[in-house]
Amino acid sequence: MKYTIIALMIFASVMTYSCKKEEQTTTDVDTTSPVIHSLTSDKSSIQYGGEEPAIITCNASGGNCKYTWEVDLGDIFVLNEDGSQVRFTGSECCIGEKEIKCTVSNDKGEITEMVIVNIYIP
Amino acid sequence: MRKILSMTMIFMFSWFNYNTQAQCCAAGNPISDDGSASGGGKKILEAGLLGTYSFSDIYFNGSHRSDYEYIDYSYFLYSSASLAYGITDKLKVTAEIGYFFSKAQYFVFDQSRNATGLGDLVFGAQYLVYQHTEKQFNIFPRFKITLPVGTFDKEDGNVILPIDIQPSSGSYKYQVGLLFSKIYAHGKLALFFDHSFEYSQRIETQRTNYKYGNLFNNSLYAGYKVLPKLTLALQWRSQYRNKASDKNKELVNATGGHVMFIAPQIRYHFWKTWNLSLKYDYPFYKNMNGTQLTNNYSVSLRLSKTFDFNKEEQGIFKQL
Repeated sequence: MKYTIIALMIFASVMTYSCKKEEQTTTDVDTTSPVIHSLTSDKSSIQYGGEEPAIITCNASGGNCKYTWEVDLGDIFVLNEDGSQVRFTGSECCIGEKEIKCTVSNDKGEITEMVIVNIYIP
Repeated sequence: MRKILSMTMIFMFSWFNYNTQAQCCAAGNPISDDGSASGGGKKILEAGLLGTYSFSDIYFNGSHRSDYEYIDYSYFLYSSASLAYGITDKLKVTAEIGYFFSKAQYFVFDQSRNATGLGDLVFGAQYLVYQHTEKQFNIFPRFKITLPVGTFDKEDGNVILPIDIQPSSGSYKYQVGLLFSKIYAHGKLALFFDHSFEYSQRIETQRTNYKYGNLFNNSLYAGYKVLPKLTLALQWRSQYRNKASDKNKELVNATGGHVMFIAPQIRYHFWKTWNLSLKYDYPFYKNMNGTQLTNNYSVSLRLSKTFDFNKEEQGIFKQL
């Protein structure tokens, strides 16, 4: 009985938790506080669906910059290696003006800018 | 004996009556209404492990299939561990936590994303408020609270994933329900009707401001014991979800809707205290608000074991 309970608890723990080691990359680069020079979208308005994405580009400096993108409703996918350019689309649940935020961070700090893209039904 | 049969059937039903994720942007976390943990009477504990695979690749607009293409297909592989304990013969408490091994979306424009992580934690209580012993008819009010303890605001590469693919729903949810049970044919046939309402609290984090639509659930279950250790069951379930609302508290048009499921099940009882159940959920009717990706099917396997602490106490007293 006791062993069955222990076995079940161990099995449940294994099923419930898993550990993923985060990849860490460090490069010897002199860094300064990150600065976003521009955050631009090639389209201010896009049709819902995946056929006409907005291409959004963040131009930043500071060294060892990490780009993090977010939007409340819609789909963002990174297009280049450093993550400074993304494509943005949305399905019907994402109609309206969407604020796409880009946060640039390094060991000296972080800064966030926002660009608005409107998703519409034709 | 009849009482034990009734309780067993009721707890089976509790498991069968869980929420299947059926739609984009609105369903939250499939753990929310599981109730899979069981326990038959005072000092009886049931521990269970559930595994679920769900697949979606069909868009619906209203009640018609749509040829719209955006997400090519989506699936999740989910597991949960649950406990249920009878504090008294009438009062049962439950706890459950889930984990997503994979929650993935593949788009028609050759992009994909995947999330893994801890889901929600659900606590529940169920009380036998009315019992007619001769007619074997029972009424159980029940209550559940969902705590979003799991992974939320998860990133995939450089992008914070959208709400519909996060492992945790991110929302506190409160569910009240009423369960009616009736046993026929000396315990061989069990019928259940369940009605529940789930209110989702608005998510208000630094990054997210969103409210899932409230959920109304009705289900009817029939289970028949074809062999002493084998039960076949069929469940009909109707789920209606209101539209979600965004950060401006405006309704999100392509969320919510009405889905009806049919779910055949098979359950095998072995080694006196173990149960193995297999269930297939098929959504045979869908009427969605706007155009939404909907669920094709889900398959669940559940293993559970019952511990009777009354027997243990008796054993200890005998030893003494």
